[in-house]
Amino acid sequence: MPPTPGDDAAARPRHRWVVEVLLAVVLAHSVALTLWLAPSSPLREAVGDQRLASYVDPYFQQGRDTAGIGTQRVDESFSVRAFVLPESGGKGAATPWVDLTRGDVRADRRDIAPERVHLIARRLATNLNLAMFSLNEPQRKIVRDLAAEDLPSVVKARLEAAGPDSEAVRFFQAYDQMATQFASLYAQSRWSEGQVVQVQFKVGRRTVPPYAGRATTTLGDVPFLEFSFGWRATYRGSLDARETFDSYVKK
Amino acid sequence: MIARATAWLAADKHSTYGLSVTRMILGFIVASQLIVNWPDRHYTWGDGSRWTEQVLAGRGWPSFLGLFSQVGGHWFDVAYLATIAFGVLMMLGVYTRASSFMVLLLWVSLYVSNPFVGSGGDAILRVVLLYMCFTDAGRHWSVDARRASRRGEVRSIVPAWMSNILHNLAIILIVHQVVMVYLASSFFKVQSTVWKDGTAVYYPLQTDAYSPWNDLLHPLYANSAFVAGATYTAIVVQMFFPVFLLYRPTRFLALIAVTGMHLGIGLLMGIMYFSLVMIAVDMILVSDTSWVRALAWVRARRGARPRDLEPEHLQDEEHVSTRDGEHVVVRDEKQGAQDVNPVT
Repeated sequence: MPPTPGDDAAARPRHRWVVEVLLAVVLAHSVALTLWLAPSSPLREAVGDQRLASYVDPYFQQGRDTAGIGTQRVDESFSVRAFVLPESGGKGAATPWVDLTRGDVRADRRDIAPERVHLIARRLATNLNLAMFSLNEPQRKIVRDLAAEDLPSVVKARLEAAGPDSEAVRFFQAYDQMATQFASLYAQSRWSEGQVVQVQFKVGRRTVPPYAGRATTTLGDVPFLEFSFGWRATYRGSLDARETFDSYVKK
Repeated sequence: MIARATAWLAADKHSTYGLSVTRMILGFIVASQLIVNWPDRHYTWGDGSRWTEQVLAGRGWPSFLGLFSQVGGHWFDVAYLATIAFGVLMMLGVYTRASSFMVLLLWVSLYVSNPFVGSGGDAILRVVLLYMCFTDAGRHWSVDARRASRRGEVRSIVPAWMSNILHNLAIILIVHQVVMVYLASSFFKVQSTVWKDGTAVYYPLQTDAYSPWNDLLHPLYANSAFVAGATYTAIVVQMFFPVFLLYRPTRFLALIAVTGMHLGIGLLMGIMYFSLVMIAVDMILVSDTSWVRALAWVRARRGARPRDLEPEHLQDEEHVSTRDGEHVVVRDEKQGAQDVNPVT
């Protein structure tokens, strides 16, 4: 019987050497991914999360969210309002709050493959809630009382003076800036009849009632725990970005 | 042992039918997702997503993946349409490796431009697309296979043994990925109180994010038997999935259960995209023998002539082998023997 390619390859030293190297690479890669996805263990701790992350991110980036349905138990909201000056001049006024997540929920009703755009507000809320839960109560008060003229460097110094976790402050400021930019672009498109000079946003979170109480209480009966953020100076953004928001918001 | 593993890896390509199905489904997912999101593409990934730059700066993605973050206006549309086109080409199996690579490059670049709209399905899709570039995913049900059957022998620059090894190692990595997703998921679940007490499924189904049918299906979600059944089934299917794969009857049972679970998740929780990606990848776990038997059964049911049942299988083996350049594989199904004859 003639040799199979496998026998042939195994018999040739150069081929076998290539195969063994490739097998070793596959094995090392598989072990790294296994440790990354697996729950905490002494082995994983010995390798170190940072070391694993530096390999897995960005090319093989994944986490618990890829592992199917988890134990999501919260609903979140992201709301925006603006302070608008009339084009004709005179005293400005704050607009009513607009809950962007509520609109997304309405749009996704009966939809098994919703448009991705409806994820944005909820994801912003998730990150901002996380940022606020990472700050202590004195820091949250500083955030609530922020004014449009407060510079990021000054805010950073005040927050760091009020709490020990500088990483939490950095995380908050990154998402605060993004939320300000998003809220500004949204507000300029939504309230385009005047000049949007300041914007404000707030996020909410409510937890699904315990299973035992499902007959008497629904999630709709649970109030949102809200985190309010102070007023921010409006971010203008590029003309292209403003036009893009116009075409979406005014749709 | 290494010699046996080497022989298994180099002798022939495995899971070729399942991989072809995976290719078609993933190509369809990429193209259809982008078509569905076409009206809001600029807002989702284009000029309207520039407010996410703080997150992008901290991610450390390589700069060559920044295409969609760097182009705007009509050039963005061109890149977006190219991604759809390559998704369709991949689905049809036209220059499969090249189109898979382009889909990977463009899809990841699109994901990078706005991480706020990504999903768990994206992560799996990205990893599987990367591995697919090393496989022969166009071996069956593709334009490549049809073209190869007409042209006959086409010499490849990669020797057959190397092509087989890369293909099979990529298959191993894909299977490892999907098994790890299930196994890790089950490990996290059994450490959680709500999964242990059989109520976990109730919670996400009450939230706005995962309840597109809440008003209609609330009585079902509130039913203890349904909630406990769904919760424990998810744990059992995921935890024992690798074990079930070892034995053919239980493998089919596992695949049916896991596909049913994904369809349930996709339909009831409004995350069909994630579910389709997982179903597509699970198809690789169906062996070539099973696919051939199923095809023969389908053709027999349609009343095909007996001689029509075998040729496609044999032809397909023949194309790929000749495309790889060095060997022709001839199977003798009755005797179960396999002879490989050098062509050159």
